[in-house]
Amino acid sequence: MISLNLSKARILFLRSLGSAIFLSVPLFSACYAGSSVSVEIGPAKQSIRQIVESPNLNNGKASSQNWNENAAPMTLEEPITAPPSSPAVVTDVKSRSPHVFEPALNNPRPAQTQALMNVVLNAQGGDLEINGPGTGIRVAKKDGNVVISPFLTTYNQAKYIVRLFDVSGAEILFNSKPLFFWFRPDDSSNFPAFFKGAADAGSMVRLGPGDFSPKQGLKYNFDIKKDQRIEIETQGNPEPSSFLKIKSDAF
Amino acid sequence: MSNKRAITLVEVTVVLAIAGMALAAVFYIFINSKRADSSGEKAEEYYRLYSMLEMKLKKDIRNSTAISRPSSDEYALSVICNGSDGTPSIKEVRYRTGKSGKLVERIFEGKAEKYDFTKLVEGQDFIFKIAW
Repeated sequence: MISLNLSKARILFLRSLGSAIFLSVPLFSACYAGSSVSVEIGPAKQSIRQIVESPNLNNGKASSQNWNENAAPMTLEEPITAPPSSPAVVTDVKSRSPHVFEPALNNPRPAQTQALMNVVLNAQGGDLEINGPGTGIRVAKKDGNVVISPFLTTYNQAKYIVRLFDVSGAEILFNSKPLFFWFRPDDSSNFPAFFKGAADAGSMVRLGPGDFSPKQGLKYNFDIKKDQRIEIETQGNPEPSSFLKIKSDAF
Repeated sequence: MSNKRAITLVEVTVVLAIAGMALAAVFYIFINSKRADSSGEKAEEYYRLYSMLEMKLKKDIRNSTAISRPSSDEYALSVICNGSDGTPSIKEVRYRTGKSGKLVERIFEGKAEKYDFTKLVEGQDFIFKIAW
């Protein structure tokens, strides 16, 4: 009985092995069919046989792969809406320097800290005096009083301008005019100086009919606040004896 | 007895025989070298043709989407080609062997490239076979 059972088991095993081999051959060839092509070229008995891969070949039929340019576009994934969690380093920097993570417009720089290149390069301390054409800048280090002393004698066109700027850098105008403004087209016309938007009739002295000259010893006072700025400019060809002086204890 | 020296008939015969043998040897070497040259040239030409045909055929097979055999001496391959504007398209390439089987033609867009092995494989059959 045992020997019979053993022989039956052996037959069963051999049958299953045989069927496995029998099935594997077509399965194997089915898997690799179309992926390679055999080519044989050459004289008889000396021909060379080679296997050439052909990835697009599908068992002799056209490939079902859709390589056409009109194929439907690939669908995109939904964008990530939730912000990613911040690592510990970022959180630490955020706590110490919050301004780094804020938009620039939410954190405007204070006007006082804004610096202009010409101011930085040219602003000096002390009183200011210009005799010929030129420019000058002074920034008030504290609140104080400023005295403008002009004397403009000329035979040709000449101009004195004193501008006052507030802390934000904007010019302070008086009746749409600078703080001090004096223009003389020639040596005799009556062109008075303007201070704080108003003409100072006393700045010119009448020597004769149609003959006016600048008055000597003119002084104009005004108060200046800390960080306000004064810029002076002289143009034209004033006589050497002309001058524009700016004096203040705030500079 | 005359004292005049002369060449005997035997001597002349021997000399002619030696000269003939030398000439025969030279001629034999010359003929052999010519034959070797010719066979070398043939082999060179054969491998040149073979390489060109193999290169074209492999390229076509790699790009093929379908292979068929319309007749016993013809294979038709549907090959992906790039057009002049860069867009791919499928075109047909045919490989045809002549009656002798030694002339392989690659026909593409109405033009035939000929690979003639007739003189290079004399006295032998030539095999050109594609199996897929």
